[in-house]
Amino acid sequence: MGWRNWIGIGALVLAVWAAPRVLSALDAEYMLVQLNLSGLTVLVCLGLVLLMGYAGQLSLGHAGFFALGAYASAILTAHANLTGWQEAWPIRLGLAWQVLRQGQDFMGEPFVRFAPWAAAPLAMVLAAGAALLLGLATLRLRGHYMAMATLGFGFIIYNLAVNFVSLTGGTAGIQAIPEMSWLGMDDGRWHVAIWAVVIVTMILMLNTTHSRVGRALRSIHGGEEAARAMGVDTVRLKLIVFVLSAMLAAFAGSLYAHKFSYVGPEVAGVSESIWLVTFVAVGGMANLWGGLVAALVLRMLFLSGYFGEYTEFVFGVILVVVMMSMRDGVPGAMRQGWRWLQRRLSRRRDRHVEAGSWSTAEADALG
Amino acid sequence: MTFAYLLQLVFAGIAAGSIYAMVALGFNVIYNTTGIINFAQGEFVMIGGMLAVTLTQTAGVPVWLALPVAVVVTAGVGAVVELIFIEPLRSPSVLRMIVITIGVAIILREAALHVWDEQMRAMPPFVGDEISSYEFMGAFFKPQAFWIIGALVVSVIALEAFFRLTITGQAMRAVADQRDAAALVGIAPKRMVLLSFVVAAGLGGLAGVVVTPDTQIAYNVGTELAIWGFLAMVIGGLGSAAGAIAGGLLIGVMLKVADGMLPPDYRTGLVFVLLLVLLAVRPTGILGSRARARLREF
Repeated sequence: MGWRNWIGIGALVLAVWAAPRVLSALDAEYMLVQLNLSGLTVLVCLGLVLLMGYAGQLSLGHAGFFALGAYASAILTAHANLTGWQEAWPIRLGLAWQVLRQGQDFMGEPFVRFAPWAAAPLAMVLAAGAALLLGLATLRLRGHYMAMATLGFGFIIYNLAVNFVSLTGGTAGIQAIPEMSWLGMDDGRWHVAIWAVVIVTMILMLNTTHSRVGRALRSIHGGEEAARAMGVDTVRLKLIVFVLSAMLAAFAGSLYAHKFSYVGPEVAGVSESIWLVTFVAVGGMANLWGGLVAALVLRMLFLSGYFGEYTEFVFGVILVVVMMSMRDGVPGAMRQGWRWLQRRLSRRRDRHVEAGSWSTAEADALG
Repeated sequence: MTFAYLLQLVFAGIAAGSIYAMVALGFNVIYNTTGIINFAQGEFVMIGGMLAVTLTQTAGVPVWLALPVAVVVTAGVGAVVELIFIEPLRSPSVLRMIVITIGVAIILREAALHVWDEQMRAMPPFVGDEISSYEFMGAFFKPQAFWIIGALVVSVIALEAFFRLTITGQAMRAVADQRDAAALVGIAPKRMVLLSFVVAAGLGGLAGVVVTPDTQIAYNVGTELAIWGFLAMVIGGLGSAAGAIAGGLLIGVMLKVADGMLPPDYRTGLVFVLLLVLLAVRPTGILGSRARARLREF
């Protein structure tokens, strides 16, 4: 991870620090909520960048993992009730360590439930299990199967969210999910918390992609057969990345549930998964910074409702145009435009740079 | 749980499965010539159904005329899609192709939303009305189901005749088998790809027209149809027409029997998991084989 990336991280920290101040100066504090949501989207997209851009696997089910995390968190902290088991030693241990919380709800019914901070890791483990099963069944197969199996997974999760009313509350969703005690409902504190997670994730991922593992992953995207011939255990690597990205999505979902203290089936929608893919594609696939900026900007645009009822149409067009004409997303196209301009201005011939450029090498150069 | 009830469920499943089979056949036609899974295949079904409703209910066109018109217009949409979105591509990766066809599906769906609206639309069955039914051994069958099954049979025969007996059909098979060799003997692969989109879209349009009286239609039904249709194709064996039909019917029957016997909470999930298990046991599908998958026969 080079100095350029550290400058990027520094700029990101500065932007996160400045954002609430700028917004309150502009009297637009309501946008903090949108920034919070966008941060969660960015978190999911960073995992997808690793999966799509580096491991070359398409997932059309990451909203399903997000929803799995959100619902698991919601159910564990708001619905599950272990009253009557207090004497069992695991429950006693849980209460002693404050993994579990004891109390009475507003109807005066006693409850024993999971604490929000303990629900998130459990939700991530659940998502990891689901991803492991799905990955084991499909990763050996070609791209089509993977795409369809993940799409089917998202479809199942959505169906369960709508139909399994006793567990998920159906279309009404789950309300009154306990908040994180030290974050509460305060948008400003959540802003810091969510974006701190984003920054830490970003640093970890930048390090990963510049390590041995990162190079092995890139080789999968470049040519799986060749990578395998060079001794890369491609199936295992793909599986690890798939599971990690699913866990990240579930973590974001868990944060979502506690931030808004509500979760409904709309977070599990199949189209939601497709928008996540759109953001990553626009960001240039194998480009963490591009993915971050694209997810942030496009999600904010999406939430602003600028395109009204044509929002989905516009995003569909964006997806197709970017995929058809820009191999490395908008950053790639911008770099090409910049280089063309440079050539025009200096009329120098630097064919070497031209011939030697490929997606991830350019990603390095950018950030 | 009587025998008659089970019979009724199985029959309803065969009718529903015929639609999945037709979607799977459409997937196959394009997959065989291009290697693309066209995720917009479900949208062709939706467009066919929407056109049929508009033609018969709003414009007052009789069904026998509305059916071919809807099929031809949908086939035209398929051609436009190929010319705009697929033709300009130069050796893209599978991942890009998938994402592009998903984008096309979104564009078609949203266009349909603005051409029509988000209402669920219905049209009466081709014969009889909503409550007419035939009785057989205590089970009741809707007449429209026979039209749906009939449409599948007719399309299978027509496709088979087209691919075996006509020069154009044989040229498409040649492209599927060996694209470069086909080009060498004077077949234009590009034209065959265009034709495969036309055939697949027409097939989807036909499925849409016959299924609409049974299930109604809305702008957003395409995704679910594509999911089940693709699963039918994979379960049957990628690239095999007989497999597509077997897979479609199997999924249709499983879904309808689960509908009739299981609580709504988790039946879709259960069917899906069963199918995934089947796929894990037999990755090449029921009727697929490694050799067949390589040959990409229709």
